[in-house]
Amino acid sequence: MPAEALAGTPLDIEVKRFRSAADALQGQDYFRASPFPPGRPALLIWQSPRALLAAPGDARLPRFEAAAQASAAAGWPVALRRAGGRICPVSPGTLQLAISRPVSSGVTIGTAYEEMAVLVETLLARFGVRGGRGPCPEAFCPGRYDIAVAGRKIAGLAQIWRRHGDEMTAITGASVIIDESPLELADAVNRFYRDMPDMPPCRAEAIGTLSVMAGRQVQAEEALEVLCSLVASSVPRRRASSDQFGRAG
Amino acid sequence: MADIVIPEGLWDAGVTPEGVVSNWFYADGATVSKGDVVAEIMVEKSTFDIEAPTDGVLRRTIAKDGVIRPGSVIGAVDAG
Repeated sequence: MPAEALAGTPLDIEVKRFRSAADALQGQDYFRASPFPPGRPALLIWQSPRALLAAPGDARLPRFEAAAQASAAAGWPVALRRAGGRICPVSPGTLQLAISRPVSSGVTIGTAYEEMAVLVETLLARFGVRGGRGPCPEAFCPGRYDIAVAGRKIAGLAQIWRRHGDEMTAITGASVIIDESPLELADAVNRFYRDMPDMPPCRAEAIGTLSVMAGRQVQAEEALEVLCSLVASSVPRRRASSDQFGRAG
Repeated sequence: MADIVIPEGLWDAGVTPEGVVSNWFYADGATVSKGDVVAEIMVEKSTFDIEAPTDGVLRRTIAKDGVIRPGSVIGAVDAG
């Protein structure tokens, strides 16, 4: 099924601010406390306090435990995610997106990535920012579906296929940097990998933010409202929200 | 014996030729049930749960960190 057709299929939306990134990943990767049944295409938008999302490969590094403890002591606790290449920093200045679709609907790896990339690019465009795709090797967690502006990574994507109830489900995640200090993000990543000399350094100059690229401060709530408007269909679908993002639903 | 096969067309091998078995969740010789997630594979930044095709005893043929391609057989389940 073409990505365009999938992208036009309405998504139910859940927005949530989690107490920790570890809790958030339980919601994103394992559908814990999801308000939607298996098989229902959905978009989860979440935030958490500062954290580093470690990829499966990070967890197998020889000094992972020591690095995680040092990061936590510096205010960046480490949560283990099921996808991704390397460490990804998250904070109240970033937005995390996760589109889940049943594989039975015709999803492929490519169409799922394409749908998320188009969503992020459209979000950026609403703020007058044009993103391009391709690896940002000097930023954190480089990958083929990085989205960059003027050579600075502003979003990264990863994907998991796992079962939700009876439905094999593709979960495509994106981390979008809305309003955060590239230097602090780079420092957090480099601190984690400090004692692992084979890991290339993360350069703050390779990280971008929507606020800087848009030429004005953009708050996460504003980006959130734009995101929700992008995925809303002509027939209103259920939106569940909690905490400071909106009314409980 | 039911093979555990990486689905053909799971990813575009023309773009990314190979993935890896990133984890086995059951030991070789373990008893598994149909649908149990017995392994995990990774292709670039994507992770896939691989399920047992039937009840039986797991036989692993590709080790952790072993290279795989679409259509690879990574193991089998011996229904006995």
